[in-house]
Amino acid sequence: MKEALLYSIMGLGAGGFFALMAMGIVTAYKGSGVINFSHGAIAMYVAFQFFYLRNEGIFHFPWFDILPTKTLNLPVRMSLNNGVGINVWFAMLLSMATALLLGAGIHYLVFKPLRNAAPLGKVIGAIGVMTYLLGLASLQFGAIIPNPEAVLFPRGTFKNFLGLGGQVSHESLAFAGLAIVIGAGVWWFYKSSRAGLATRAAAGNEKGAVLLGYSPDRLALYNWMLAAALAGVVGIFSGTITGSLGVGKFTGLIVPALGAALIGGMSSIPLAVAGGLIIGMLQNFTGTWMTSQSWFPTWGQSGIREAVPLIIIVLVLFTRGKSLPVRGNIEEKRLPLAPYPKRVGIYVAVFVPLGFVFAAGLPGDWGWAGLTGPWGFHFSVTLVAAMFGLSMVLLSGYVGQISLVQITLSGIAAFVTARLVSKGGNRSAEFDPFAVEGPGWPWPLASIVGVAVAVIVGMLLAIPALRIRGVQLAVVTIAASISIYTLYFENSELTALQGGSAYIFPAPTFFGVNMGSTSSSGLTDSPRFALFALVVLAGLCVFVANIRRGSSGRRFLAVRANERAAASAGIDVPKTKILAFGLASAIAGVAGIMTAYQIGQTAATSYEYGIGLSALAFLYLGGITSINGAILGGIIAGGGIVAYFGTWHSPGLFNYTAIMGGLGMILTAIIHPAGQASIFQPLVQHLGGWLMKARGTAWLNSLKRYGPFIVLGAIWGVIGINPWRTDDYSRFWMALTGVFLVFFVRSIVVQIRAARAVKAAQDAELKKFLAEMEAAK
Amino acid sequence: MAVAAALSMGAGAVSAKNNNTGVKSAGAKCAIKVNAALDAKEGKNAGWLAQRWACGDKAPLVASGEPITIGFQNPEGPVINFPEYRVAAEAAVDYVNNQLGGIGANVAKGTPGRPLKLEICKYNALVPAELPGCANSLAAKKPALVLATLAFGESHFAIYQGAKIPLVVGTPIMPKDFTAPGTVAIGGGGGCLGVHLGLITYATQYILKDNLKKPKGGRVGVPWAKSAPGIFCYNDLEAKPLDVLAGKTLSGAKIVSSAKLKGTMPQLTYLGVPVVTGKADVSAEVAQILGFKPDIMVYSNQGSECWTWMNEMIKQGWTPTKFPVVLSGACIDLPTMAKLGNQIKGIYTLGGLSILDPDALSGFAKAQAVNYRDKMAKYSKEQKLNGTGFATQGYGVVMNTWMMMELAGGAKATGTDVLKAYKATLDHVGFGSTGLNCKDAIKPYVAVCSTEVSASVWNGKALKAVKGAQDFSGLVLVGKGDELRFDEVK
Repeated sequence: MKEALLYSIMGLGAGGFFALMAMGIVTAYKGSGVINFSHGAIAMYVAFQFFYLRNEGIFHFPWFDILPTKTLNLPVRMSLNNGVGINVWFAMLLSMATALLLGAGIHYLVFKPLRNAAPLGKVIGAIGVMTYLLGLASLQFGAIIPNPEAVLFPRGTFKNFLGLGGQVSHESLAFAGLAIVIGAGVWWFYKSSRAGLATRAAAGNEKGAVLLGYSPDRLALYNWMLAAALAGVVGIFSGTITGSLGVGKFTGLIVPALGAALIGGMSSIPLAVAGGLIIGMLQNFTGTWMTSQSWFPTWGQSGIREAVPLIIIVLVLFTRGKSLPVRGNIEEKRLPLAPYPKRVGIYVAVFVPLGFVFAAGLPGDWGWAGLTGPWGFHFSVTLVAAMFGLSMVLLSGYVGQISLVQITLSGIAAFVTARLVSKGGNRSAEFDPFAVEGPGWPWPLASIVGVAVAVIVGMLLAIPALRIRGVQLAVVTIAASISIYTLYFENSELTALQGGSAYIFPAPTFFGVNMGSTSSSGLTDSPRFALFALVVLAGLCVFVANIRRGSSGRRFLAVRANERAAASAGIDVPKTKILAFGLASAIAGVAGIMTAYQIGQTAATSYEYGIGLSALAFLYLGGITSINGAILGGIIAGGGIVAYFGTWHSPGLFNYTAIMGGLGMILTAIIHPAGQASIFQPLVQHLGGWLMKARGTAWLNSLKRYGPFIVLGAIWGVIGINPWRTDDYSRFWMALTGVFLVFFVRSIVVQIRAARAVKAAQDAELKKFLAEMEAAK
Repeated sequence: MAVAAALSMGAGAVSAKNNNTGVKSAGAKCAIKVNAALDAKEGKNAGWLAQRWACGDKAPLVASGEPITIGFQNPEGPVINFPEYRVAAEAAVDYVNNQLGGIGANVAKGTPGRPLKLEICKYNALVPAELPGCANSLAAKKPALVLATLAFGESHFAIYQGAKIPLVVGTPIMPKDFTAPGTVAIGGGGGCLGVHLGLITYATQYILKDNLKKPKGGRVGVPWAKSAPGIFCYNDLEAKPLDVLAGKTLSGAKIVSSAKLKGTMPQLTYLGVPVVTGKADVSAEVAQILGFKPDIMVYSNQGSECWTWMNEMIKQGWTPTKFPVVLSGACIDLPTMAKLGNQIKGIYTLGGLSILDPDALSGFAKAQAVNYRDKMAKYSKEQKLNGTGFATQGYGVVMNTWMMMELAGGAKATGTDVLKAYKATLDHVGFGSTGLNCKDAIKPYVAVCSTEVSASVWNGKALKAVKGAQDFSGLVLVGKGDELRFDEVK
């Protein structure tokens, strides 16, 4: 028992880290109602800033050189001491200044415009900031993974600490102490200072705070700067505890900190600090001490440490449940409208054959040979990503549940199916020494069972959703995703997979016809698989459309709009949520299995929670409340056809993908939360209608209106969108791309103008109203 | 001396300088006289390689004609990011094309060969579709072969196999890197197959047996990286060989193996402690190892993680006099080690040949290190990345493949010819490696070409080679045809 206690105390260093991170998360939440998934990324950026200032005297600016020239550049770094490190205190000062700058920038540029956005919009904003910072750090700090030196803390250990027979390092205790001291300071700030009290008032009732004369924007700014400063403290001081500094390190440690923040109910600093320390200790107790005991089952050794935050979060939610406060807002916008799907049958009848022709080409010499090689592969990726998007459209778009566990459910279905179709064989055989034993079921039967298991797990995970909603559900589901990943996907005891190897998926066949993704050339570009995926996607689209149009869809939307109102109207809210989780899990399961068939194998790394976050963000860009949004999300998803087009056309853009992706997420969340589908859908409908009816004058007018843009885009495309590209490409396709890009830019300009016009009209109306009031007085 | 002689044999060069570039143009001639003594000492074709370098310096030959394309896939995402691998490979290609005459050059006649062209595909390892996307993209361009650096996945193998394109793996880490047909894994030390077996061999057969005089065995602390490849590397290539040496598992079950050394250290015991990559604090894991009171500790992880671990060990009171530590070559981080100085004096590192520091080397190894240093200084587009281990591997994988292409028939050689040339190597020189021995690969690790490792010791300022512990293989701990550990032992 002494040993168990000793290991738990050793967890105080990590606990201090979680506590400081949790404080920052709570502070940002108090200020603007955002659960800041980017908090770890801010800490990481400051940590790198501090390291390079201290060791090389280089200050990095948190932006990139956007000017595509070699002569005129935006400064991105500044050498302060000719490559020699600067004084540690000065480095600390500049690093904290960076943190404050980041905090203020994030407030003004991201979360102030998103102040009244729906919770999902804020989640996307936070993911956007995280993606931007990860991409920026990767660009600026590259591949070097430094080991930061200790800062100020004493080195050494207490021998035989408290008579427990082991030693505990001074730094661990000092770091935990630092978290407690800073926690006390932040607690005092909220308890006694004017700004802190006002923040608490605004968090409870923003309207009331406004009436008292406080500016919620200014309060949010203070809190964001405080949160970023706390991230800065983590970045500067934690190096000695956390060791090596990688770009993704702190982001990967955000979940225990979120758990600690939830223990504090997203409002109590002392409880968040205590939560962080407890999680740190419990992780060591379970992950290090318990797993080393002979009585502990080997199958539980993988992942027990990562499950601790989930267990604590679920316990807290069940004990505190609905008492968890939801931050007040003056006005919280709802999710965009979920359009009523019409003419689904016609779309399927047109687009499935069209998609197949697009993939397979036309017979004979008709000028279109189809998509081969990487184009065929990335087209299939697009189709499967759209399937995955449909699961989130149903759950998040229709029912308003922010679930980040869908990727895990995909993985569960794929892994169960893989195990059931496996036939094993002689592992020492030259070709596949890692083949997995299994019953060798036919693929359709195995797939059905795989989906069924995903549905069961999904419905179990829905239980916390009965008590919570919004961003809190996002935290629970992300914790569940990480726990299942390590407990199941990475657990060779349960999966029979050795060291990251993959399950091999046999190609699916229909009545002897191979529908697998591998073509005769050996590449995974088979049009037959594209047809298979098109049919499955079409089936899922019809399924989701029917749900939306039926009574279930109406119940879903009622729950999304207002749970209490839905309940008072006689809707069984828990049953509706569980139904939605079950259906969404089934769709996610199908997407997971199709992913495996497409690649021909499946491995744990395909179902990591970050991939789910990225998929959600791309879906949001497409439009999370519509079927078209899911399809558009698939088209622009990572590895999809647009992403490949981008890197194929301009390989130099590759290094900027994450940065541009992050900025795209932020811009979409701010400018057009309904996603790009809501722009394209009416455009396509309008164009279709127009083509049917237009006559000579209409053609002439349209040509006058759009002609210059078409000509401009075509010229741009023919000259070369990227004139520095040296290899060959089709000038016809480039001209079309140029036209598309010009119209895309034009649509953004039109949207910004429209938004400004609406704001100006509102201001004018307000002025008129005030003037009338004044006159009435 | 032999190396110096070989390097000076290009003295018969007759050429004219290109006024614009400072590089001698096509037409420069260089007499080839291969030093057989160097071959005998450093491996087959070492003399030829040294001669070509000498000619490249004294009578540079610029490649011309239609390029020969080889694919190159490298992870360069926002989190998993190895640009140095690519930068060094590009520098090596420039060196080959601008000085060595490309592929199929006849340096004696001054006839240039065809230039080598790297078709590069960068991918984000966190997006599952990008690795197979890269494979499709490269395979569609029909390269002679593809160079894979270090892959965080296995989804590309089936595509290259289906397209019949040979794969050359620079740094093998995933199970299929070691076992896939149509593949050669040429990285020095053979990835974890050579290095982890080597760690156990060195710790038990050299240190425990010879230095510590414990021939029957002792206590070995084995912290291990709990990442996808780390699990495989520990289970199959550390825990199993330790069980083989002890003749039984930790739970007392009899071990099945045909290895010669089976059961020769019956008193051997060990403690494996998983270290979660990126964990917030490893103090408890370090305490577990220290609490085990090991006679020796072995550890392999990514470079920075090793020093997180070692720093914590030092904090908790470890000194080099308490017990010896053997780290894998992946841990080598000279600036960090220099900062720790005498605090880690006496620790061992073990792996393939490290060519980062010419002063720490001698003979042909030194010549390779000098070649790497000078050519990277000339051709690397990001000089800051030159001093990293993965950069040396990127440079090495191109140099070795160039050598194999030349030996397989020059510009006429197909990818299959190059693969055959690789597969036929035995006691063959390997750039930045302890040698190429593909022919000696054992099942199921049929792709592994280099399992020999060498030990170095840190003297407080630099790494120095350990005499008597150079170019040995840990394969002695594995019986030919042995099953993987897998579910054999719990």
